[in-house]
Amino acid sequence: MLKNRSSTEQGSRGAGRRQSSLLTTEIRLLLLIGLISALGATAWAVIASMRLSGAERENGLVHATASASESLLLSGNLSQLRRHISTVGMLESVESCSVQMPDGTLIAHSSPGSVTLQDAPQTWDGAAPPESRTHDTRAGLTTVRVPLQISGRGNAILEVSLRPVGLSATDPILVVGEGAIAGLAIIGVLVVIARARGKVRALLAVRGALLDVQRGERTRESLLVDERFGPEARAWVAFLNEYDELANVSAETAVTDALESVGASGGALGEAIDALWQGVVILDYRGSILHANGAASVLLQAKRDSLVGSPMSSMIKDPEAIEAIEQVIKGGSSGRLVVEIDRSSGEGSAESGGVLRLSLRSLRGDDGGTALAVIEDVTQQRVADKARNTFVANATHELRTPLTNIRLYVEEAVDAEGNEAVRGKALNVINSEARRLERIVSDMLSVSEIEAGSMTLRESDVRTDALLEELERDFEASAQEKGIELKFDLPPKLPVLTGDRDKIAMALHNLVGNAIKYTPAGGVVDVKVSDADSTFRVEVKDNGIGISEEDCQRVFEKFYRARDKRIKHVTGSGIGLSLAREVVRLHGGEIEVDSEIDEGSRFTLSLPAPAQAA
Amino acid sequence: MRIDETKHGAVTVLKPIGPLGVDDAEVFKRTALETLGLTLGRFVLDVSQVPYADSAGLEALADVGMELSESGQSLKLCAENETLREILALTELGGLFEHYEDVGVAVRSFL
Repeated sequence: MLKNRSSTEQGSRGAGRRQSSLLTTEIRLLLLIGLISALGATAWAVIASMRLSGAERENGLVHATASASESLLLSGNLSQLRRHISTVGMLESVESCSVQMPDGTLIAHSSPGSVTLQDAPQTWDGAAPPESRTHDTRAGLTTVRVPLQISGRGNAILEVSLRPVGLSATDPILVVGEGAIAGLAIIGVLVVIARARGKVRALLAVRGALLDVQRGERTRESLLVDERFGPEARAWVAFLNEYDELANVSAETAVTDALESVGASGGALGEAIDALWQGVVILDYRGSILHANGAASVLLQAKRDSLVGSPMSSMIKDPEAIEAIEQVIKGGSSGRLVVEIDRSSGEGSAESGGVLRLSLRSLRGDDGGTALAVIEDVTQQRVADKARNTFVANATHELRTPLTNIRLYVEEAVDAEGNEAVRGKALNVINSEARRLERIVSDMLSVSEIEAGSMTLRESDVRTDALLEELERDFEASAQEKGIELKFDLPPKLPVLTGDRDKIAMALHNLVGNAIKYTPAGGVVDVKVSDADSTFRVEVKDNGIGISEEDCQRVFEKFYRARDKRIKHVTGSGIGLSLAREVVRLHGGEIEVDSEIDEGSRFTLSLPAPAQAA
Repeated sequence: MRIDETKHGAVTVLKPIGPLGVDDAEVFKRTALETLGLTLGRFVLDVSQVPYADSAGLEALADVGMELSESGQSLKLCAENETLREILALTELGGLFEHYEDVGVAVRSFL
């Protein structure tokens, strides 16, 4: 409220300053032009009046001289007359003055030598022409001829040639001056017109925008005017910008107030938002955080209090996500935008920040202004997807190898008609590969059971001696083929366990199979069995390539394969150890690994055994 | 108290070994809260090797559970033995946690 009041006051003062600036600029100009025009008019009037008074003075002089000449001629005092005419001729404005008879003889002249009639007769004849005035523009003289009537004697003519005194209408100085004044006035008027035209254009544009507002138009683009029209247009655009800002601040305040009231009252909505495991963030028109729930603070790895007011871009730092936020806030997206942000360590390990899915939506219709961001942690899904893809790739390869072998040896068996030795060998390989295929498929099915949580044990008595004999038999040939010594160290008596025979056999097969797979030629795989403290323990030890400490932490993970370049060429689905661990766990046992690079590995499987061995 | 930490995909499994008592409660709580921060709450507590918990241990468990609940999550416990289950029921703290039979199921709950 306070902000609005002071703004109004400032607005009034600002309006006054604007008005005075208008007066100062345009009106000053008009006043100046008016003043110049007034000066010019005054000068013109003065000059005109000067000419008028001059003319009157000339007329008075001529008629006074005429009257005096008539009197002197009547009295016959020619010498007096001649003196008078000579005196008149000496006036500044008089070029010459003369009295002449109707026949043209001069009785008196301002130049005494010009007189041609010394004595006037008593009476004479001849009519005098009417009064006339002749202007000689070249000489600049005005010649006035006035008839004289001398009663009882005759007529005469007074001729006075007059010179202009002071400025005339045709004086060059006067002409130039009048021209300058007129020119200045015209220039001033043109300047005012030019300025006024620009202002009128700007004012008309702003007027149009205001009328649009009255008609209900509210979009900024429709109300904009071209700023090139002048300061009024620029002021209007600035006003629109400020109006937008005020509207956004208003919306932000409304949202904040609503959120605070929800939080303060502890209402169901506030609790519901805080109970969500997805992060909920509300952003203002600047992209700063207005509100964040608890899950958001965890996912963004920042304290909840420090989130409010912070720019979202400083929390996520992902260019694609930042761009999406800006797009939503500016109203460039009418629907939902979804962006995934990978904050893993770059080695694909999904450490620390993980993978977050950011769903963005505008909260103020299509005009933007505020936005809702929902954040979900999809790290585990991405890891599972990646592992599944890897498994499919590896498993495909695992299946292809025995199938290829089976196909090749079937062809060999068919071609070896009559050659029993070759056929026999081919059939053995086919049998071995078929069983290998069966185990791989069985492993995959077991993985599905584990995924679905439906793996169960078909419990029965498990004769461990028979189990281990079968194990030795299964791997004897492959170990020999690879040049590896396979040793079984068994106690005299082996227990009978209660459990799922097939699954226990699968677990042991995986351990021994891995040992042989990852031991080079000339190596040793030692299977040591013990039965003590009610625990059936099988230790599979090799002197193969070994496993790093980091990989030891993860070898029992489903689909995980050690990141060791040496095993790149070694096929494997990455599920064997995971299955073994699951089976052992289901039986209440455990499986451990102890390994060192280039020294070999030791896997120990422990299962609860009954007190007495079978 | 020893606390083993293993990874199942993107999920961390914390496995305390031994009773959760007054001597170990603080260490356990600190470890759990650190793991919470690092993993965004993506972790499971395997209590299969915890035979029992005293009041300090229960308080530590409750504190971790409350911290997670403020972010809309719950502390996932798996493989509790009968004793621990009964203690949690008697103290009415059971509702603060999610309970799973084993680690695999608990880890899959993050999918």
